[in-house]
Amino acid sequence: MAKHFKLAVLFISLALIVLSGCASTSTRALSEDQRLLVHSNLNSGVLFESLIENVNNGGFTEVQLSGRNISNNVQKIEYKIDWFDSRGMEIKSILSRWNKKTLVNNMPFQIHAISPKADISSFKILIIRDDSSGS
Amino acid sequence: MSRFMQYVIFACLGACLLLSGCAIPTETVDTSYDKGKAVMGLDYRDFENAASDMVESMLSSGAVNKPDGGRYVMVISRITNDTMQRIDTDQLVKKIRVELLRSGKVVTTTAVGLDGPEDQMVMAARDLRHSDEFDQSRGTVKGQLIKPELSLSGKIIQRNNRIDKRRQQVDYYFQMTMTDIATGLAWWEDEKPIVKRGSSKSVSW
Repeated sequence: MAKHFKLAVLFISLALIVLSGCASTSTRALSEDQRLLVHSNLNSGVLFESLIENVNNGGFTEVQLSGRNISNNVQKIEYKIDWFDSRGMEIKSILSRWNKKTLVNNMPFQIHAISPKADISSFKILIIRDDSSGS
Repeated sequence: MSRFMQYVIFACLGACLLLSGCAIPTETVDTSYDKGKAVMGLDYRDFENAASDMVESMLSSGAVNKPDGGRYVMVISRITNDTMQRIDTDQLVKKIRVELLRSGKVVTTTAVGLDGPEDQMVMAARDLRHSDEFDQSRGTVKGQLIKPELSLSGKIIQRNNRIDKRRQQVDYYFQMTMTDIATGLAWWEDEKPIVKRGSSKSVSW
């Protein structure tokens, strides 16, 4: 292999490593999931890894969003879960409210919620950065 | 008009303009997304958070899932306000009742209460059975009222702690218990703490 070719491969590999390190990691793992909407103001340092959905014995849908704060700073977020019935209508409930959550640096976290009634057809999890905390 | 009077009028107009500019305008708060500053006392957001967490806990626990699929009948027992604030505990309980009713798992009776029925009309309407002025083929008959199966009781506690000369911490605890009336066993219990830290000059009563 020519020396120039080896150098080119090495350069491209290094560039890829550097670029992947700089890329925004927020929602990378669940970026295609329509059930998760993350505001653009939460643009780095939080990785959403999995979203589990389960119907319990009472017919209520329980969801758990797991992720990790991969930054070196404590981050504060607000999240809300909107629930929809079979007609696609939003179900009004105090369970659909904005909650605050502190994400400890370099640690995993879970967001857990339960539907306000049985026979839910869909839900959306909305997540924004909590600006009131100054984070 | 004398020059002095002109000065007085100008001064008054200027003062009025300044004062109107300083007035804090009244606004209606959008309670679905309220970014207003927290207060040391309990406000509607705290009651909503506490009620929401309690209902989530109840529904997750399975305590309100009736084996045959029907609805439990619940009665509201004593909800004690052990805080320094004058609180109507219905601010908490009503939210829980509404949410449990919406869930389709629990219905609350207003015919029974520790201090008499919540809706006194339930019993008052039954006195009409003996009145010839009313059509007795309609309305209530004996044995229609349904006894409660579950009882919801609770307590709100407040503890004030001084951090230093300038700061204080106020801890509020919302404690709730769901008791199966037939057996007397607490099927579900939970506690939600709400902790506030702020100026020691702020009052929490």
